[in-house]
Amino acid sequence: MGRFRAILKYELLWNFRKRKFQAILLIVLAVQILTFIVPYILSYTAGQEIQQDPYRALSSPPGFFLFLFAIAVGMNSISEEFEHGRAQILFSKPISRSLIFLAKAVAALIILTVAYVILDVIGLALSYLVYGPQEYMIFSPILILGILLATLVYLSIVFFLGSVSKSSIIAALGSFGILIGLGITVGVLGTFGGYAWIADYVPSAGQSGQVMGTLPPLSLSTGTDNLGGILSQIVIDPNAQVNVTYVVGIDIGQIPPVIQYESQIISIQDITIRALGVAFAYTLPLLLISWIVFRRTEIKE
Amino acid sequence: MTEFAIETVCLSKIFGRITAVAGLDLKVVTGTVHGFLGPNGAGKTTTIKLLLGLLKPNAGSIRVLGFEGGGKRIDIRRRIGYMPELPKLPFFLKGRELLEIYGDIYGLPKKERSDSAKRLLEMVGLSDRAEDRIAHYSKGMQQRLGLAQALIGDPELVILDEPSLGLDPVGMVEVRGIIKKISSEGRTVFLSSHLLNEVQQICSHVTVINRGSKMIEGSIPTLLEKLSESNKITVQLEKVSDDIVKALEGLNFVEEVKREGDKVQILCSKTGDFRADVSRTILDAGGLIIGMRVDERNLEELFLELIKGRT
Repeated sequence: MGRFRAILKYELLWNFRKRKFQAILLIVLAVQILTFIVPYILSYTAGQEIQQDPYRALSSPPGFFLFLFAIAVGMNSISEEFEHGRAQILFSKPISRSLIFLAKAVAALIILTVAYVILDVIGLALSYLVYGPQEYMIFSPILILGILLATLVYLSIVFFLGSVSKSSIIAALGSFGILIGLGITVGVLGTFGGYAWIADYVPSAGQSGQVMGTLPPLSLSTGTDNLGGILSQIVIDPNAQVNVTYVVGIDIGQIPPVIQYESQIISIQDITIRALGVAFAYTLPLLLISWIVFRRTEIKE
Repeated sequence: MTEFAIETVCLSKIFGRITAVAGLDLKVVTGTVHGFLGPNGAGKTTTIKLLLGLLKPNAGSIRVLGFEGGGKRIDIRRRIGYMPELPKLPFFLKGRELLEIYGDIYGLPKKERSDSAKRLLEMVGLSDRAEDRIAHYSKGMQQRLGLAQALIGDPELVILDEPSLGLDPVGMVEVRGIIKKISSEGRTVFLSSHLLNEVQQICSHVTVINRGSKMIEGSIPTLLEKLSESNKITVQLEKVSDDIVKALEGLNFVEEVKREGDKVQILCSKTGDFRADVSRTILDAGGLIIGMRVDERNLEELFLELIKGRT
């Protein structure tokens, strides 16, 4: 236990003292605050009353923020031990590499949890102040769990690239590349090929839908990025139905081209199972490969 | 307690086309301070990494503290302290934090961790910088902290890779003092260095390697004795002639004769005092001796010759 605790402390101190992490937390906090304050100011200046939204506190941060957190926490965690030569001393200590890896992963989750709890508390307070009384605030822990799972998908990509390349830069840029590459591929295939469903099977926001029977309408994305919202929704109403709208093609024969949509009603249970399944399908193999590579790496430099 | 703290047989490590360690047989007697000498690129660091399990050997066996596999085993690593060449320490930690975290890895209780960190920081002269981040330490201070972390958990075997590298003369003296203190506590110290003077001052035993192979090994007194057996005699003559050189080369204890102006340098391959034989031979060849000096070769010259012999 002492060994695990030692590495956990090592990682936590490292991350909380990391300027990168502090900067990203501050940026996300600032954006979070602005998303509440700007509509309020706009409504105020236009002389209109802002529309009450009892579900506002249950929305996940945008997927890109989750990705940024994953980068900030994960990009150095594995690779920098090798890059900076610290692994030489660490691996000569009486602790298994598996335990080091596990402690690093757990530390990353703890750090993300702390960050998300801070964001959630601020989000709740601002939602209440700007959008009026909030429903289901009791489900905040579920929301945070979902956001954590969503971030874990990106974190596993960053860990994987970091342990394979032993380079923080490759871990960060490679992850960006994958994110952008997936975004473009999914967009092109969805718009021009009629394969919009692919968005639900890669780390992304997925497709957009609306939970039926809610007033005001509660929008819900179906991808892994929105696992926070999806898990909250299934806990609130396990029998909810979601009207999902997706692109089926584009008619480029007309000017301007017309995007063709279709919609489908999917149960929240199916959406949840699929999003969780996709999240684990990426996370588990990538973490497993990272762990194997981490264990087997020779310290040549 | 086992006779040898470290024992390798035919140890080899190959990186692509480069053989870093080539069939190395190494024996480090328990309780000694053993110097591991060799020029840069000789395979010292690779050997140490193999001992610690940081690298996997291509061939051969390793026994550390009596156990097969050496540092591959966690329970053996518990009994080893290691300081790498120019130790890279976690810059984001404070000196005290580093030692306490590593103490936790060694399973030390909280009080013991704290006491041990305090004692080690004092030993390496960093007590007043204990609460500073390592990022703000000088190179010498990092080196000393590297030495301190190698002593956490009271290891039986301390492996130090070039502990004086990058230090100024004062720092080198301080580090030597610390190593002497460590060894006086009864630990086995295995110390790699390319500084012969350092090894001669601290170590009781030495192994010289080059290109991954062992050149020579033994206790320092034995090696010095061996060295004294192969002396160099310099004779200043009124005039050096070919006859004199030829006559000297004919002596059975002479390995080589070099002419340098009015001097001849005679390299002896055997033990003994040959001054009388040399004088007689020179006189018989018609030479006139003005002066004669016997130079004993030091460890450095032997080291250079050994290295040269293999290159």
